[in-house]
Amino acid sequence: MSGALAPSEGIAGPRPGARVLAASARHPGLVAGLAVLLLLTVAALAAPLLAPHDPYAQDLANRIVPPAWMDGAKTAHPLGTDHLGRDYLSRLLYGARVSLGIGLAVALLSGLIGTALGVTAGYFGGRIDMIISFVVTTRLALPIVLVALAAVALVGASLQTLVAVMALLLWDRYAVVMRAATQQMRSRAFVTAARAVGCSTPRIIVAEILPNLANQLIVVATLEMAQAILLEAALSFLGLGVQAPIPSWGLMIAEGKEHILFEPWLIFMPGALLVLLVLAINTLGDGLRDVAAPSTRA
Amino acid sequence: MTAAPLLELRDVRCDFSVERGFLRARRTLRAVDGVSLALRPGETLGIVGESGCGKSTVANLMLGLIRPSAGAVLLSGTPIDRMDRRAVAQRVQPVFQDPYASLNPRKTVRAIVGLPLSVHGAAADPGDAARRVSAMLDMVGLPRHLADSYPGELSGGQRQRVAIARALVLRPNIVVCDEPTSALDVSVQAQILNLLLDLRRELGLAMVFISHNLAVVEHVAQRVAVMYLGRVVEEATAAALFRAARHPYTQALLLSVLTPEPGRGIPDARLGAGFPDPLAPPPGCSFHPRCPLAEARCAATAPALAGRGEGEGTVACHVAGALNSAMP
Repeated sequence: MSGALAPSEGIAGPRPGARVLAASARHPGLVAGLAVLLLLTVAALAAPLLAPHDPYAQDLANRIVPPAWMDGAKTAHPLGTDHLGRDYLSRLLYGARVSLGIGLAVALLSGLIGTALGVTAGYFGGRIDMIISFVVTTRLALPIVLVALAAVALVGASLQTLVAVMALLLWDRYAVVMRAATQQMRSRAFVTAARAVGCSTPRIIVAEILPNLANQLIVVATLEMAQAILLEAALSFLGLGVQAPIPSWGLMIAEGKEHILFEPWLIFMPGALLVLLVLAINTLGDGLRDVAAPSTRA
Repeated sequence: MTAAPLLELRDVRCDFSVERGFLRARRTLRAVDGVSLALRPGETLGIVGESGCGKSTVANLMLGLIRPSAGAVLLSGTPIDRMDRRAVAQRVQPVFQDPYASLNPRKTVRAIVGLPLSVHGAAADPGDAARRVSAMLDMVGLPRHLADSYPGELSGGQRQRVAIARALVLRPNIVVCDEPTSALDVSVQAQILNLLLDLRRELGLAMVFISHNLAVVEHVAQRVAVMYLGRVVEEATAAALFRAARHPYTQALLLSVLTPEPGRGIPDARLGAGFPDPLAPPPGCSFHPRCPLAEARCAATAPALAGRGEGEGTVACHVAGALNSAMP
């Protein structure tokens, strides 16, 4: 909590964007999270420039080279190599692309599903709300990892299936938050005014209500992205997510698990990066929530 | 009764189904019960009553935002629910109570006032739309440089001016004002009221002015309807009503008008018991539990609207009716 926000500064600040921006700059968690996320994003985008080696190039003569701060390190491989002699730094950099890419894609797709369902339920209410709420409750009753494992095993693992399966499983929080926020908005007089002017229902939803949900949508999207990255790592670790030889942090942890006793860095480095990335996104999301949509703090 | 009514409510009833909790039966709330009202061209009709008496439901009925459960809402003789939404919008527009809620916080003043034009495709081109928005801002007394502001940057009075500009930009002939000044500072109320009166004269508007503030209604309206628990209990010209209220409820309301004079305290309206539960209205005359003049028959049968005696108008009261017939 920044504590700088008076309760009266709800949704109608002076200029909607400017107020959020000014408050964001003063929020330490938000700034730190954003900085780390930006750093990792730049690293991921610039992977081809930064990586010293081809992440797929095997070099069986140089298997399990330790990282630079340990005995037996080689300058050609600053973070060592894996069990196939592939450069670990390069694989970690390319792995960031996979994590961020999948996280973003899932956050966007599940956002589309969840927002559509939540806004529909919240705006129309009644029977439609009952049906959609039942679907949400049913979805919440499904164990995500088990269903994802079953679905991926059934359809066959590929990046597309992985993204699709996760998007179909992670939309519930969007739906719940958007439903409540829409209910709040639809009873406001500006929605009635738009109806009295003769606006069509789709236009009211898209042009009048949705812009007022943007704050909360961004907050949920951030938190969902962290969730998606963790799920991708978990599925990849279990062998049903990203498939070898594509570098994914979860897969790298899985590949390193035989070496956990004597070469723990193989697990430690992707694991630490995963924690850092998810922590950064969650801190950013929490900060955004404090600043942009304090009412949704749960 | 010379000119045909622009807007007419004919024995309108409006029920809402109210959920009272999990596994408890839904109940019907009769928000409006047998209301007949007429608004003639150029006329201002005041509707007064306490919170919960159905004033705002009447406003929503007049705007075609809700359908009557029985009876008809007629716009120049045509039932409003058989008309195209946008055709209704071109003729009747609302001004709401709270200008903090009635303007979309994410839109600029220009977009808010221009919305009706774009919904109706009323502007020939973007330049025409911009001109009409600017002209409208001039008309409601807003400086043009505020066109790119967001509602959050405006004062309450300025926001209500924006709401009025939005209501008038399509040039409707009826404006339904639902408590248009009660959310504003006292110092601003008069400005907004005078603006509405000026616009009414300039544009020849017919107005429905809903308020709990009798002083304001007396100032604005030519005819006044007093509502209690979903029914019209008295209706008359403003002059006749404020000179000699017939219904005991109207009399109590008049007594309760607050004056800005210091030291007078809050007047006693003699309305002892609280407002009844609208889900379980009292039998007979719904006002009888609070009425100082109540008799046995008031609890048994509901009084119908009858002539007021003096001048035009109607009143629904057994006792006041008897008083009338006793008078020559």
